[in-house]
Amino acid sequence: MNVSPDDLVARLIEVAADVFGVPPTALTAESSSETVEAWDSISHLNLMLAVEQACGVRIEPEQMVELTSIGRIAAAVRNMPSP
Amino acid sequence: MSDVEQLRPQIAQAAAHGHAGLARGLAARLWHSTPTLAAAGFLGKTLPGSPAAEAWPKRRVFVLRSFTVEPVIPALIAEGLAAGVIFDVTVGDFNAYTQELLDPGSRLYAADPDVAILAVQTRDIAPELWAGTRAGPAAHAAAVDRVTAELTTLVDTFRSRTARPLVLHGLDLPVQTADGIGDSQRATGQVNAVREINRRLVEIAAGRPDVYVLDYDRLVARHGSDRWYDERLWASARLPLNTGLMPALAGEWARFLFATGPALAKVLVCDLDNTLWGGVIGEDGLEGILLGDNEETCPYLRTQRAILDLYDRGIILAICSKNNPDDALQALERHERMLLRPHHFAAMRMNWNDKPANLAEIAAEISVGRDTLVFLDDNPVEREHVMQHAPEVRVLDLPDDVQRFADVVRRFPLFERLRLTAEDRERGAMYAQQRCRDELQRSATSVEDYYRSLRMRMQIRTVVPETLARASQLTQKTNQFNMTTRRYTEAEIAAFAAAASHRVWTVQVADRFGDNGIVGLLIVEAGPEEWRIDTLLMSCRVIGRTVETAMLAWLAAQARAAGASRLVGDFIPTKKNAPAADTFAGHGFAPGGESGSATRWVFPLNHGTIQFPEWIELIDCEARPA
Repeated sequence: MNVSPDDLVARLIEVAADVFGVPPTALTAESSSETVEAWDSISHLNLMLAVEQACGVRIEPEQMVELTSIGRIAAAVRNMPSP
Repeated sequence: MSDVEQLRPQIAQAAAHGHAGLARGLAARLWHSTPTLAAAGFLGKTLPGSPAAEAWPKRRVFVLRSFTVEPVIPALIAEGLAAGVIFDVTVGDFNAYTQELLDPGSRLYAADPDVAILAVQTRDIAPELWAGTRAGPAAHAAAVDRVTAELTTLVDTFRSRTARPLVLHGLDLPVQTADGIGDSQRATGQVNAVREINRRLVEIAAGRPDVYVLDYDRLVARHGSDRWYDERLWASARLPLNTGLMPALAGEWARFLFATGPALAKVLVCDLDNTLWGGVIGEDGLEGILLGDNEETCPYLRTQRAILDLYDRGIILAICSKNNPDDALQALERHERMLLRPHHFAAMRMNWNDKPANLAEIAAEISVGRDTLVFLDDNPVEREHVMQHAPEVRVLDLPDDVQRFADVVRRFPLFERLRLTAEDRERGAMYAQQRCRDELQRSATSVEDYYRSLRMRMQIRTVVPETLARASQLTQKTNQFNMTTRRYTEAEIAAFAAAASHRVWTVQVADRFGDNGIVGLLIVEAGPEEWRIDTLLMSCRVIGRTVETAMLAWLAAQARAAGASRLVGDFIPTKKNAPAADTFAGHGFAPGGESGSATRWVFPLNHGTIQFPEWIELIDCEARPA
């Protein structure tokens, strides 16, 4: 992805806030499935699909299970080729 | 305003400040321009529960499914919000639809949703017809019988437990077959076996009240099966479809959810210049406005055809245009290529007044709620103005490209109708007749003189299978002259009709100008001593013509003949049924107590009679009043 690390995290926080139905201020780069109540296995799938859509990337199923924090998603997306 | 980036803060602000029209209109614009999971999530967290959405109608939905649907649900909720409707969605357990439908104690029956959707697909319910397994004709035929028997049992079980509407997914045709193009050469091939199942599903649904088929294969085909299916998501998450097509499935579900409850939109109010024709009639004149000679090439004619199709579906049409009335009428009456003519419109406002004020007048003139109006106008400034100042009116989100107007009109989901009654087909003509009645009334010397000159004929009949749909529709749609405003599905009406304790009658009224069709409904619990009126309603089409007096007089005579000593009715006030408030008192009923906001009224059959109006002729009834 061709964006600065901070911009990407901000963008992911916005997407995650929409998926989880919370205000963006409730999330940080450290937010994870452990700390966010609405982040369960169902909303995790929704989040992965929303991130794919918002960032124009493709996340492989094996990778999806590991991306359980905003920071980890940002790190993974940064290394993905833009389409 | 049109910048998508700015829409979110504008929607949030409209939501927080209670601007219902703006919130709905901008939500539609955001959702239609960027139908993403994030946008759906944003709308879902911003609008429900906000001051703007306080009065929006709700529909409770239960999705029974054989596959993962969770990521489609935010899109479904967004589809509702874009139309100003709140969907409260519950999803059944994964691939547990059989247990949930069969077990009377399941979450489905506990939730008692307004509508249930059964989302199944070929690869789950008939795998041998999906994958190329070379199962052979006998196995294919067996699969057809097995699947139809299975679904029949499920549908019938649901129907026996609840009267709620059920939407049944049809099956999707296999993308690949074992025998390639050879498969289509045989009636018993995989593809034709699935077609046979779909054909039988239509029969199953049509033969049962309030069961409907969602043609899933046609939905897939519209978008292309190569784009629709996503084998990666299917393998990892049992999610069969591509993320980008989830709004398409959600949109199709939404159509059924809108169409299975009380009608949310009834009237299409059209602008004229640059909407029904190109150019401005007041400036360009009859010869100057743009209307091609061919529907294939003229976008305005295509828009008119789309509107005419809605008219044939029972949607009421009206005009709201800034014009000199003479100029506009000249085009409507005289332009040889116009498809829409004055007799198609129930009300016309061709003047220079503010459109929100005109819309309010139109609603009043045709006796419908303002919230049932849909506004069609090419001018974005007028659309925004109506959103702001006529917040109940829904505004069609037209693109700049006139080529797409017809499509937007055709795809508007709130004009979907699942079963058309004879009354729906005739509604347009009935409104034209109504204009003639209004003229007669203006020329009559007294109100009795007017009633007599109408030469009304009334037919009261026990409900039969052919009139069930109309009877149910009347309970769903009648808001003004409705004593109790109880909404019933076809199945619920059928249950009343079958019960020994109840009677259900439909009331049909005709006059010298034409047949109004079935315009009244009576549901009565007929006890030995007391006849209790569960439902007494009358379409606004016949309000003010003493039809209710005739209905009550007839009913009282029936009750007396059956040996009952009193006729009892409740009036439950709503925001809209004030026109019916004085009915019982006005016909000699005595107050019989109150419970909550409802009042009870009692008519002693031994001491009084209700005079049947002399100007209404009762014809061809099962029983005549004594």
